[in-house]
Amino acid sequence: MVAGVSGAAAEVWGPEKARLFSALAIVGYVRNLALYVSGETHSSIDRAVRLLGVRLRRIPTDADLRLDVASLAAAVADDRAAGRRR
Amino acid sequence: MVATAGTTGTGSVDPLPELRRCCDGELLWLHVDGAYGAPAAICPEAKELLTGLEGADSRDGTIGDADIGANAISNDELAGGSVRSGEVLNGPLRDEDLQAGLLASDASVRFDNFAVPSGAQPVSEDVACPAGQRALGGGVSFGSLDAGDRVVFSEPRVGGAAPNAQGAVANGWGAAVLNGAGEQRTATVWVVCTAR
Repeated sequence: MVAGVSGAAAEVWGPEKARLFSALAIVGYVRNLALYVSGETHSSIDRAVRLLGVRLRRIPTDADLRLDVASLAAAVADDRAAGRRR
Repeated sequence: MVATAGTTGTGSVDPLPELRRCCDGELLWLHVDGAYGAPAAICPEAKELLTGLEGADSRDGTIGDADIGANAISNDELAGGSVRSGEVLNGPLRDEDLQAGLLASDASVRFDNFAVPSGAQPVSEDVACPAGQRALGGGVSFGSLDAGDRVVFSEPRVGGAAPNAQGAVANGWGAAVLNGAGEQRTATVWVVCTAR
């Protein structure tokens, strides 16, 4: 997808701006992603997500500290309603 | 979605089958972080706790990690309490081996202790699976790793694939130890077996 954008943009903008365009497209794609974890998830995941620029959604846990699936479904529904695509 | 099979803090396991269904409905990728807990799936008594692990889109925490050694042999029945976590040196195991281990209802662990004498002489020990079974992997542990100046060399080998094929076993795990001067040590060689 990005390569296609780059090819079309290169014709219009020239190679340097096309590269910038591609980079922005990637950033835009990553910014649209969301990652779901719980409060018990290992902190290394947080770190990776921060570096990548992916949005982190922390889902509540139940009494046994297991991720609550109903809360996950609700969070995903929120994100879909906010326009985040499948 | 990043689920956890065995959290670092408490060892809790997220409801993997339910998460799988939710992720299917929403077209989400399901990753299971099993760096701490997943290797326990090779133990029959833990398999039920980790149901759904095999259904993830991706996993980490294969039995190639040192964790499997600790999990597999810290079981009191198997190790007699003689092996402590963090004292395990491991060889390579592959993700497909974990799959086989998860599916194998007959996966078991065999181990043997052997004496490493004082002085710079090599000793070796092999632990083989029962006839008709093959080794998924194994490992070697020493009574103490703080005696690093005494146990100077170990060579885990499996499947005859080690550089030094002499003495290697086809369906087991072995170690060769060259012990330095000092008191006698005990080493444990263990192997995970399956009939599959």
